Amino acid sequence: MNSTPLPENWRSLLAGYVLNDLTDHEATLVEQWLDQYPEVASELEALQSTWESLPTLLPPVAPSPGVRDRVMAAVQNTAVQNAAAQTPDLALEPIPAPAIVRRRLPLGKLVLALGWAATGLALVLALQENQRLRLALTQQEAVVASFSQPGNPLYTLSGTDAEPQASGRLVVNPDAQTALIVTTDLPPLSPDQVYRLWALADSDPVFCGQFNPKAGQNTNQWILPNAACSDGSVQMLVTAERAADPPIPAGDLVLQSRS
Amino acid sequence: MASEPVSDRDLVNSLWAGDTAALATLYDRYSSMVYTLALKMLANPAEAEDLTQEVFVNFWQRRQYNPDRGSIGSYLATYTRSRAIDRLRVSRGRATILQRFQRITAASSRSANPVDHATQQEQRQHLRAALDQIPPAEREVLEIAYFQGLSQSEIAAQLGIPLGTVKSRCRQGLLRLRSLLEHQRS
Repeated sequence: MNSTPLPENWRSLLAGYVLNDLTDHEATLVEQWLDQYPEVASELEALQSTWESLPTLLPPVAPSPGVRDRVMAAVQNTAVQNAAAQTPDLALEPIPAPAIVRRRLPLGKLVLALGWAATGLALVLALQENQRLRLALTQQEAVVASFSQPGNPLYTLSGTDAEPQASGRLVVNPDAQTALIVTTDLPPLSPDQVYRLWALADSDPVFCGQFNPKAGQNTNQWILPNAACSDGSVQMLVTAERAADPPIPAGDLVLQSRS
Repeated sequence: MASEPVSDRDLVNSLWAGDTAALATLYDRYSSMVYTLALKMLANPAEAEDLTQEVFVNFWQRRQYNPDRGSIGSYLATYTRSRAIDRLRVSRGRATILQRFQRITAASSRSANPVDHATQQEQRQHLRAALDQIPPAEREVLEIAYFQGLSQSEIAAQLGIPLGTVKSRCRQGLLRLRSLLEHQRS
């Protein structure tokens, strides 16, 4: 037996339920109908599905391949850390070398191995520059990934008109109150200058520390001077300032995140 | 003989069982959809890529998705939209302060992924055809509500029309769209 008959505008209320524009009383009514009327459940599902299909209107655009690498690096890094946390004995004890590594090689095989090693070395030298760049990038991603735990705000920083080629990634650890920034193509400044990081919320920018990269590609880490810097809802900005100036942004904006 | 592609459900089960490689396959299937929606809503490629990363890492980390309660595409779209709205609300709140710093960078878009499924194209065509059939005023409020994430009162203020009108247009538009899509399917 149905205790509350459906009103004439029940479909409109279901649409309102999907669009989240109902009063609490109306929403409660809809939820009661869901238990009482099968047609309400199926209609609600159809409306929800229609609403959720709107993104398919958009012509698909692929993200850059680096996003996939960052996702997998963050996931694999966290998975390894989780595994280590679950097996603390294994994590703390040095891993014994497998016995097979210590087995002595016969002389002939040793010579062969040396030959291959020399060939490998030549190849490594030939590809050294390429490898170095790739390694640097991988290491940076690994460093960023190691900080990229859930709850640690992660910012992609884009160069502005002042430094259009520059980019960076910033990870904030709210628990440790630390910031890690990896910059690329951000030129080193003279000793009397620094880059300063600012958190922009709904008031004046908050000073969040400073750094000066030593090369075109660099990683810097420091303790945050203000807890507001670790609030994940701020926008991060980097300006070039004179080191002697008070912590008020006055120099060129060189990097910025969107949120 | 080509093997059958692994179903989303099987991939999710593998992922929950600890096989992180399954996430790579899910990423390959859905990253364009997630990124496209993020880019549409945030209008900034770097921000959209950040959100795409967040969506997939959180998908794995939180394990809130239940295959029995809907498709993974629908779940990811809803989650992406919700997180994009959060970011937009923060951005809007500080818009005036930003003017001291802001150098607007035009959002650029990369070319579309050529491997998108034909079914998605078909679905898009059906939806576009249905949207074209509903009154423009209803279409407008629906698109603003979805892609800009504005509340109905914010839409009313933006368009300069009464809140009640926005509400009725949104509901009517959604009901009409649902009906048209059902007709197309049948």
